[in-house]
Amino acid sequence: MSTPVIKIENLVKRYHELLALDHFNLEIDEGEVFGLLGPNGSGKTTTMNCILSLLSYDKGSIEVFGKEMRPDSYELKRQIGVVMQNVAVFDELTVYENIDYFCGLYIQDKALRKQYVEEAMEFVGLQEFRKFFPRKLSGGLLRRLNIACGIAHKPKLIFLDEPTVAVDPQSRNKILEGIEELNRKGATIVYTSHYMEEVEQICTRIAIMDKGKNLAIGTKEELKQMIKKSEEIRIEMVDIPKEYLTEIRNIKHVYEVCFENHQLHVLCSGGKHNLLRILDYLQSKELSFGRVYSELPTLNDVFLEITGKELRD
Amino acid sequence: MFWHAFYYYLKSILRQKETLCWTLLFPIALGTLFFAAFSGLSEDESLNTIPVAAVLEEEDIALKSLLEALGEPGEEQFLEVTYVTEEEALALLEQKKIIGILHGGKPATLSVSAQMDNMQMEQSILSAIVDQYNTIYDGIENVAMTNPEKVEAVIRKLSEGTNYNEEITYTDGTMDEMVSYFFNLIAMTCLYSSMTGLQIAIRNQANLSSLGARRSLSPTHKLISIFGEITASCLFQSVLVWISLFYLNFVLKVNFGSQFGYMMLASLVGCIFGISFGFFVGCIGKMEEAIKLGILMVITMFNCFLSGLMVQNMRIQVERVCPWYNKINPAALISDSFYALSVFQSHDRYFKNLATLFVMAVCLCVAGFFIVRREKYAAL
Repeated sequence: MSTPVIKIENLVKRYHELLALDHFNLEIDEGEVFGLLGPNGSGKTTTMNCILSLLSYDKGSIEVFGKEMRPDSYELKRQIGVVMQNVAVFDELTVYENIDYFCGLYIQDKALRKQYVEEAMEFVGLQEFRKFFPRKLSGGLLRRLNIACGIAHKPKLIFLDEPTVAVDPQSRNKILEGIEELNRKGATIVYTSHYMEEVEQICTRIAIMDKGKNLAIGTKEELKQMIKKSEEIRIEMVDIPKEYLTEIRNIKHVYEVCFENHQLHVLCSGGKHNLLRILDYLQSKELSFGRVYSELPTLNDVFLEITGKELRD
Repeated sequence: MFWHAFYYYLKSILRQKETLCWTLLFPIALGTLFFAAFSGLSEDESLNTIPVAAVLEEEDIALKSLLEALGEPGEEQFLEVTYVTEEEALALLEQKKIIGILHGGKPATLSVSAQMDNMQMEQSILSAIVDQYNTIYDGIENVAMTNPEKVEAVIRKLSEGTNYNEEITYTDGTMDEMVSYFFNLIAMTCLYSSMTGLQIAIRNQANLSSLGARRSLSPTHKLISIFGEITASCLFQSVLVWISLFYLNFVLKVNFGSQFGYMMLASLVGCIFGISFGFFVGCIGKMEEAIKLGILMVITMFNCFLSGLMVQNMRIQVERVCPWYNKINPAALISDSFYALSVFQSHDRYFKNLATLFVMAVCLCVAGFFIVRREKYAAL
């Protein structure tokens, strides 16, 4: 069995009275795109900063590439790339110079560094902006520059802390495609976000965090299986008698039924052909209906159910 | 890695317009204003040759020789003497063509017009000359009466020692008190370099800036990176101060003397202190950058005030009340280094000041390093 790239055991971190990480455990394997998903304040960034040895912690242990991570673990740091939540670049340096500066902190060889910088610019699509200063870049381009500065030295392990915050959809897609590309090239990715659709799109395994705890961990399919809801059916209708709602509730796998705003709303847990059974019932009662929608559960449903259905800022 | 940090910080600081403004344009503008103000002051206070009439008898040989010496044409001519009769002299005074009438005799006397209120300073000078002449003459007369054989020796001694209008300087510098304002201006400029020291501290600490956090994650030793940036900052700030010095000395022709190399060295040490001071303030506490900048400016301007940037005699007042403060006030130490170059032939005082500044700079830097070297933070 191979050594996990990151191994966290029983991690506890307090900010005075606030318990930011509560006996947190995590293992991330090589080649994964691992998503840390949680609402704001759930402890995602704190976890990342503890792994990177920026923050001290009260209890527990952290290993990266099988070794204890310390502030002076320069050999480990050389293999790690970090894209922070806040854009961290020099306002007075151009796009090229910024990437070259950060790459130069890892790569001494000038020729190799030049090649890496060019590749990083091409990777994030900033070639035509190489002489631009950061203040002249749009929010999306600035985020891409931030990413280029973090990954130019070709790290084996990359931390991306909410890299798509306040980014337009076009840049967001470009960033997500880039992350998948980095993973295909062999990098292990740790991705934190509170955008569930992003995590669902790119992550091979996901941990759902809240209040400093790891509430659930697994692939997106595994996570969806953890919740009760497996299908949500909505059918447009003029009206439906109340006794019929009770009968629909008794159909196999249906656990919740309601009618509001001329729409029949049915939630099913597991099972196949739920929609077919409900439509058969409606036809048997000679009830006319309009458009029909059937949705499988999303990560959003998983998150809302696991975290108690409350989203906090 | 040192050169990587050095190169990019130099590039970065060269593009910071605020730094160029405060460390280059501001002192040049203020220096020009000082120059304009003090030039007018010098012209107002400068003395032209004083026109005077002398009414002498044949026996007033001593007074005549004095007046001839003071009226000798040239750059240092002090009096413009017209030898006339009493009536002619009164006529000239009435026409306001002369400031006063010197009468020979024992004692010599001076007549001035009460209607020439605007010439009181010149009248006072003439009065002082007459008083001094009478005192010396009385002295010689007393010697002649008591020890006639020593009269010749006394007269010779007085002739050797008396030099009425020659300025003697022991260095190539100047005793012009107005130049001290320029010394203080350069001291203030050196201390303004604390702003870049502050920036270096903030950009290197993970709990103070995103850049600091990002750089803390790199496999580069923090102290090497900081040392590279401080060195780049010292070079840059010193060059800016040297440009200001060149401008003041060679364009405005402020007389700093001929020891320009030493002045450049003092500016360099001043900048090293300024940067170290800013770095130290940047390292302490978790206050916002603007607050720390405010603290730096208040301390800098207070020290400059006490060293005489705003009030000329302030350093002397501090020396009377609190002499130890002049020995640690960086602004006073820098301006005093320039002053020492202008006034003293020996460089002892100059190097003592520079050594004090350098030791203080090293202490501040080391203290700052100790704070920054903390590599894990309780909170970001």
